[in-house]
Amino acid sequence: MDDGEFVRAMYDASYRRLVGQLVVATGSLAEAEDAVQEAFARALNHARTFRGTDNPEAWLRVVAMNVARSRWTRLKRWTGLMPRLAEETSYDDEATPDRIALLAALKQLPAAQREAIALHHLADLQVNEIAAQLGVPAGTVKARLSRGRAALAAALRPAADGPHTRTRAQEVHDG
Amino acid sequence: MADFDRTPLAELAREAERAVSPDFEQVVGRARSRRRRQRTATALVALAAVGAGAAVATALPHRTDTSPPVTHRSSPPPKHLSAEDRIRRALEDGSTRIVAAADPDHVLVVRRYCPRRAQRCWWGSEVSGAPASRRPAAQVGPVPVAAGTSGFWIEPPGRLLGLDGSVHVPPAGTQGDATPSRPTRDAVLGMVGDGGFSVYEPSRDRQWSVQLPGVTSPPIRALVLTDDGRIWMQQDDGTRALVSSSGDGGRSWTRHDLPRLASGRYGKVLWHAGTVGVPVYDDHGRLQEIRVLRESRWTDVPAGRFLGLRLAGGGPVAEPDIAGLSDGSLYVRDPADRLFQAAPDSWTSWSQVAETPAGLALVGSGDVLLGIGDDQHTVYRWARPEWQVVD
Repeated sequence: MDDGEFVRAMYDASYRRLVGQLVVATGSLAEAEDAVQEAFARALNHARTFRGTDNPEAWLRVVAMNVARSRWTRLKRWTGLMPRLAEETSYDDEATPDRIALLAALKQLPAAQREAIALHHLADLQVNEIAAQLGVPAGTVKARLSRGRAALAAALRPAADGPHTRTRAQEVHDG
Repeated sequence: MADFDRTPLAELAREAERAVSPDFEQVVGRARSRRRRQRTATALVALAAVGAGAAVATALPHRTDTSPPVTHRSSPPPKHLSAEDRIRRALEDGSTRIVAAADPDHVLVVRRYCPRRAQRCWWGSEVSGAPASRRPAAQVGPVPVAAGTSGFWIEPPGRLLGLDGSVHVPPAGTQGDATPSRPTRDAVLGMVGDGGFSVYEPSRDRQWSVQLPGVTSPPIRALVLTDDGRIWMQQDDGTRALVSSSGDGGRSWTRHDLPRLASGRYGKVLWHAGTVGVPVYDDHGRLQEIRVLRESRWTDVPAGRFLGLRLAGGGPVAEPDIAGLSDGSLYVRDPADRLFQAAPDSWTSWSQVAETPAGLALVGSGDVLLGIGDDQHTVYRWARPEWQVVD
């Protein structure tokens, strides 16, 4: 198997799983897919280096998250200046309310908290591993996890009692 | 920590895993495009930066990144950057996007500069084919970032220039583009990623007022302005397409949703031959059919007829780039960089008209077909029978 074939094999084995993790980290399927594709493109261009890494999937995850983070930083300059508009969502999506609500809840989290949650709960990384990957102290990772989970739980908690309750995130989404 | 239920997150991830259609060929194409860009040692770029007030010529440095990945950390920008340095920084940052529009005689290219960690973005504009003395007549913006719009107001004569879809990062295989434009003095359409789609109108003091709150979810895939004054908006999540139209500037919408696909995915909404169409691709990105809205019903253009394009080309048309013009003409660029044109009254009759520069992203802009090179900066204009660089 040459280096290119190795990247291809990694693609077949890891692409979907990485997209799933990046969806939680970014709150967007399109952004997740784009970031993971970009990571594989870079792997293909540096196939020999890529193949020599200890953990190729972790390499891809780091690259994809860096790509997504860069884009998020740029996007934040826009959306951060218009929070009111972002809240005034009025377009209904009746088909998948739970998923939309969860994505809406994720988008309310700071990107750093989303990343920590995705790495810990989907990529099954330990706190120390996340800290090493992100280049931050373990305590910071713990704080991000704690705050992120609390915010997520609050956003997805039913707003009222009864069988037809909606989550707070759904309420925000529905306006 | 133990009380946290990860089930919804895991389900979300699994749904995403099911929704995507892995296609390694897209990665190969993307990697090839990256290599081409890296081989471009220098690119001379003439820019007129709004705010800087003067044309700036700058050369892009050769970049080769072979280092292993490290966690990205933005460093604080140095103070007192010159305009030239800011532009170079923006280009290196990859945040420069292009919106192009045209009239029959001139091509106006608008570039957005968002330096890393800058407090605001600004706009630069260039007009090709116009004497320098006329260039100020095409003054652009600046568009206030606070409004979140990526539309442009040009004066005189007042013209809607289309929308920069690049803020919402599209899936691999597509490129950010500008939707077809239509002259108007009444409205400017804005579009951002999470901020969604909004309608803005310039007031007397040239400030911007929001006429429609943002539509944020699902993500907006495409916007098309048709010559009958309607706005067509498409949102989708891969296998489903939510299509809406508005005849009153976005104040009210009529839904024309397409059904969920058993396999494959929808492409971007198009306007051609007096009707709206949406391409359907299979799991490998090959064009299967176009669903056309006729008398409020979606009907399929027979795959076999449309695939005449594929058969004539000698190979599968994967991820074709499609652009429509305001006169209804429709162009397709295939991965082999061939340009096809559809007959004006048909979705099914195609002819190859030319080759295109490698990796060209087609942009239908009013009545002129433009293309953005895969360096994301060079703009081409289709001047039959060849492409011309807009400089």
